[in-house]
Amino acid sequence: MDNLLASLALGAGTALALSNVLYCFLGVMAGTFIGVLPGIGPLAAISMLLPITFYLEPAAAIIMLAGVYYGAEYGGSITSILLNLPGTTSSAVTCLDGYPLSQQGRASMALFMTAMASFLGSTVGILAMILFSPLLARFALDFGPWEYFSVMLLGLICAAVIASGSAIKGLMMVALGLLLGTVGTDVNSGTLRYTFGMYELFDGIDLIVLAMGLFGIAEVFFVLRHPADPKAGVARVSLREMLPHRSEMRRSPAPVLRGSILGSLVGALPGTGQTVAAYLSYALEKLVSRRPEKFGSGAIEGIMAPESANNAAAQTAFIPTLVLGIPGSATMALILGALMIHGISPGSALMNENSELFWGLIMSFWVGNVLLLVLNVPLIRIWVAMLGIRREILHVAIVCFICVGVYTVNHSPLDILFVLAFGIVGYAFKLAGFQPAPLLVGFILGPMMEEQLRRAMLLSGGDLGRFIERPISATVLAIALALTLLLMGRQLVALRSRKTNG
Amino acid sequence: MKNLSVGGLVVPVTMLSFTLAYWWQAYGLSFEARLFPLALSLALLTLMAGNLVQFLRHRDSRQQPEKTSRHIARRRALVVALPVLLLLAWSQLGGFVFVWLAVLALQWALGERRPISLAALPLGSAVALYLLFSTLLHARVPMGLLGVLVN
Repeated sequence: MDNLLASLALGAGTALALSNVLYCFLGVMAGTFIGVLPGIGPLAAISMLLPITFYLEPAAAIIMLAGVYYGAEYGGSITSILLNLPGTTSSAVTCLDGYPLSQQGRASMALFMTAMASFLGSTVGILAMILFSPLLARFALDFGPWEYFSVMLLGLICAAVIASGSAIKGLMMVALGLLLGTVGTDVNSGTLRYTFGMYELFDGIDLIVLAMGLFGIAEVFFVLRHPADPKAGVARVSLREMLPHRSEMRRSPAPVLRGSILGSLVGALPGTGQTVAAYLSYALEKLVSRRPEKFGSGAIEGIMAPESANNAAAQTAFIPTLVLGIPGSATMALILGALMIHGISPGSALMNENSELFWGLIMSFWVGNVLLLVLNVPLIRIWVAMLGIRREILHVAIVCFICVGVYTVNHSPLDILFVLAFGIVGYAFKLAGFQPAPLLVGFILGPMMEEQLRRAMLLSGGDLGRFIERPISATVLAIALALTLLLMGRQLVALRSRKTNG
Repeated sequence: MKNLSVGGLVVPVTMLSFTLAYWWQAYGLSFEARLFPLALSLALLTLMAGNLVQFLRHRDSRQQPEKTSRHIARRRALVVALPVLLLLAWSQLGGFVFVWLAVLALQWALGERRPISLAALPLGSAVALYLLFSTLLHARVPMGLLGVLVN
């Protein structure tokens, strides 16, 4: 215990050094800004900032890059709530209840509560890092391809659960997302799949192109069909307007706690990340809620749980990277690269050999999250003012931002065409009652699932029985099966009650 | 079948053609590369069949989709068509001239007629995007006409 306190004191000394606070501030500010912008994600931003960090001290460099990473999570939810345009993939789930709240004129409350949920989620994630880093690292080491595949399958079932309305439609969207995820070069055999001879598809469909089309452009079409009152959705922004109703306040702590714990656990597993954490926590809240029918129409639990989960996961994602040297995502791989550029080897020795940097980074997360909270609450007024802009002007700006933002990712004008095409498809989905969110989950998890499945089959010599022989995998599969049965049961009850009511 | 809404079938039919295109492409792939996608397309076909059954069973209770006015349909078509047309000249125009023209054309198509808005917003958007993407984020956006004019 004394050891831990001494390490925390050492870390606080590093994190609170004036220059590190300044770099942390720059990082979180850039992260928020990047999260708000469609197209440019934390991955692109960190790659652009990487050369700058060569001239900085290692601690300052990593603190700044980490600030961009978790700052983007805060920023990503802003446009999800205000414009139904997810800034990051993990904030796509926030659109489901955040945007309806904005349409009800409660955008400032949604943004304030999101900032609070993000801060609390991050705090739980940081605490988990401090207390359970070695334990979580060992737990993550027990995960083989069987366990990863099972967790991802559970993620897909959860994605179907989050879709309101028909479960079949939700599952169809998941399957379509999985299929779209197989487009491109097969990693194992190098075979080109479903590229139809277009070299732009050799690397697969870009996630940003898909998300911007399905959510952003589709929303522009939808608003053109249903023009809203120019003043609708614009709320006065005083502290009172930002506060939720008493009943909403009562319903918030439990989802935040559940989301934070779930996010901390999922984030610590390499390869799963914030998106899976956000979707799992949303599905969990919908399952345990006494009023699941309210989800999708502005339920406070629908923004609190995923936001706390993705921010908790953003913090614990550093555990496998720093403690095991296994980056869970491409962004984490870049941060790992930055560490190595500065001559620091990640792994279990990092905690002892570079304890100043390790604990300094953890304590800087807290500094960064306090800075984000202090920054974001006053900014709510400015973000909400965006809704006061005439719809025509706002939508023209959205279309142009999406076009240029999408182009800057791969430097391909064809991506702009794809984004418009996905916009049309997304609009058709919306009209026909298909929700795009499960498609996005399927698309993200598909390639990872296939890779883990192939690895599992290779290691077990094609024996599927391994999935139920291994305890963690068997437990996760049992939960997935129970969820599927619950989903089907709900569907049957709904069909019967519809029949009874004529 | 008198109340059968054709609109509700558009998405499943599109999905079906997409899945069939997948099957057709899968013939040329190795067993290892086609196994996962084929299993997925089979699952999707099964779900589509389930959706079709559900659709046909509840066709009578389905609401008829509201008719879109010709005016709104034209606006929606223009929001797609104008950027696509300008996109054909993306390399020649460059990213920022593209934005300037696209904003101007889209504003006009969406019914904006105030001269100040038509003049200020396109220029403001192009300048803001230039400062943001080129100056601040050092993202590569083709300069096109602007590059020729500056040089």
